[in-house]
Amino acid sequence: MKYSLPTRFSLISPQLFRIRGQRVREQGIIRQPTWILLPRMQSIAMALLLSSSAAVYLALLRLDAVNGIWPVALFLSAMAALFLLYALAIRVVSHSSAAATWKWVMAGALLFRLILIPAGLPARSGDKAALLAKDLAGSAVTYERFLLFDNDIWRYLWDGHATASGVNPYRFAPADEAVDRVAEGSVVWSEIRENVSFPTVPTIYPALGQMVFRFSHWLAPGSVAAMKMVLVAFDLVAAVFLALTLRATGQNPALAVVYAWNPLVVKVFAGSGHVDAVAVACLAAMGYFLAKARPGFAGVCLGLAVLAKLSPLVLLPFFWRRAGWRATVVVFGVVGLGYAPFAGAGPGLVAGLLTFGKFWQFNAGPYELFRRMGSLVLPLHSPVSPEVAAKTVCGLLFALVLWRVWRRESPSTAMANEVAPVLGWLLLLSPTAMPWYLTWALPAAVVARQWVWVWWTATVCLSFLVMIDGRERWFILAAEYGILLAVWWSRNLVGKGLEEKRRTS
Amino acid sequence: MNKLALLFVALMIPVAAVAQGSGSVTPSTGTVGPGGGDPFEVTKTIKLTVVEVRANGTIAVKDETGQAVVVKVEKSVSISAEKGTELAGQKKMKIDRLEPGMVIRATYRVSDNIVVAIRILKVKKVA
Repeated sequence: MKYSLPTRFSLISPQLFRIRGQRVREQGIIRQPTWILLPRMQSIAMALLLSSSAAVYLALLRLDAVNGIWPVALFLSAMAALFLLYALAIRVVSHSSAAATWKWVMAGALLFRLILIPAGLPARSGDKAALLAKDLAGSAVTYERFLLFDNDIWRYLWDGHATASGVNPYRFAPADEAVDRVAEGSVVWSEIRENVSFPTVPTIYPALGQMVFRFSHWLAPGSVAAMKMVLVAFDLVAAVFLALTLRATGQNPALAVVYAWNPLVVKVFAGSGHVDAVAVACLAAMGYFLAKARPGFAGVCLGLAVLAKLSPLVLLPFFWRRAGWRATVVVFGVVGLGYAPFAGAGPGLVAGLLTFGKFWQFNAGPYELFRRMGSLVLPLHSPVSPEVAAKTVCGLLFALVLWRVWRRESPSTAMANEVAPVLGWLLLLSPTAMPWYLTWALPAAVVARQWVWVWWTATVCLSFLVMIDGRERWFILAAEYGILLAVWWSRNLVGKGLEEKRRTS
Repeated sequence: MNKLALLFVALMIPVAAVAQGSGSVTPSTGTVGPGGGDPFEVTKTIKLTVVEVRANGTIAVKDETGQAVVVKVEKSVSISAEKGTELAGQKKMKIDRLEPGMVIRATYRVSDNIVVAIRILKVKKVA
């Protein structure tokens, strides 16, 4: 019996329906029947998961996210509950028709983000609406300095304000006396300036990030909520492009739930407001245009992604192999155009980034291991510091990864198969693996079905334990990366072995 | 990738040795940022009016509701003044420069309620 697809189910691959709920012989393999939810049950299940998740997000709003065991424990408990609901949602979606779950996926994506926009307003404040109104009007700073344990957003607001005032943020750090005039005379801007972390370092955010900050400043100067909304818009664009890419590659578009409902994604973009949402949206768009064989548009998107976050530069060789030199020239053209308005800063364009590369370290896995090994092995007055040695080893390992991915993949497969491991490994071997960086590889991981990167978005939450007292602990890192390793091991080695055994039997 | 996985596992084995505390490795993993500041220290700000500056590194203040409290100020507190105030532009000020009636915005560490930064605001009120 062949399953005939109703027109409204045309979003989903027919292949998916043929193999579900019946015993079929395909490529010599007898597939066992798999369960599929009835349409009404699908909607009920998704509604329950959506409302439960929304309740947990609402509870997060009441959390006073400060240092200490209890605030961090409560936060991690909420994240654990959200990840459990998220896992169930993925399960429901992957056993349902796209038509039944698609609307729920998008409704949840929007609702969760809207709920977390006020995150960072004083937790015990009764009248959050009034505080939100003051923030949007730019009449007062009503958000706390830390928004669910993160405070990068103040730099974004300051950079937008500096650009609007004719100050090049690559040239002048927020603490420079030369920019006193930008803040003086305004209580709001002097407070925002004081909230910026590392105020003696010029901005590290690339040109598209600056343009987004300027746009948000144009919408509502000094407003944290407006900045969050702009970034959440990019985040939602990423979810939509992911769904379109899934459809274009013959997969269930509702699997965009893996990105759209991911609690880390919701927390870092809607809760804390990180600019990485712009890069994620551009990368997701690039994947879509490549899937639709539009290399020119894909080149523009990769160029924009590089302008939002420099890390997608590592994808250039793979992009060139797929899209050709013309599209690669487009990438460089977009990057050049994007930086043109800030060119006056000269070497200052990279000053902040160089400081970042030299000093920052957080949540490092293999890098930290090599650094520690280096400090044990290298002599006390060695000309090579453990940090340099660890960076060299990680760099070599990353080169090996690039080579392996280059050899393994071919232009006939989706580029997501290259984007996910390349960006994933880049972070894995990096001295700094901030939780929000993990979102870069997530849309590609969904398309390529490389679930280990999705797992990492859950285990990386352990890094928030640093907020207890500001100290990272080895056993937390070991747990985060150990779980990841176990998942990888089971999926890549044990899982493949079982699959092979099943095929041969 | 399987070989890389094995390599990764092999490289992770020495973690056990390091984790035992062998060698001279400190338990902290050395999270750093430029300037040596602690990027994970949650601070909050509050608008206060100075009532009295005491010799023991504390100041008596009252908040916007009029409630009086005594707050401890860190020795290395950073004090700055807004343009238009008497102390504007002065560097490296100590808390003895504060005067009763001054309106300040105090930034305090949530973990121990110690004030780490003070900004003298333009508006002045009589205590």
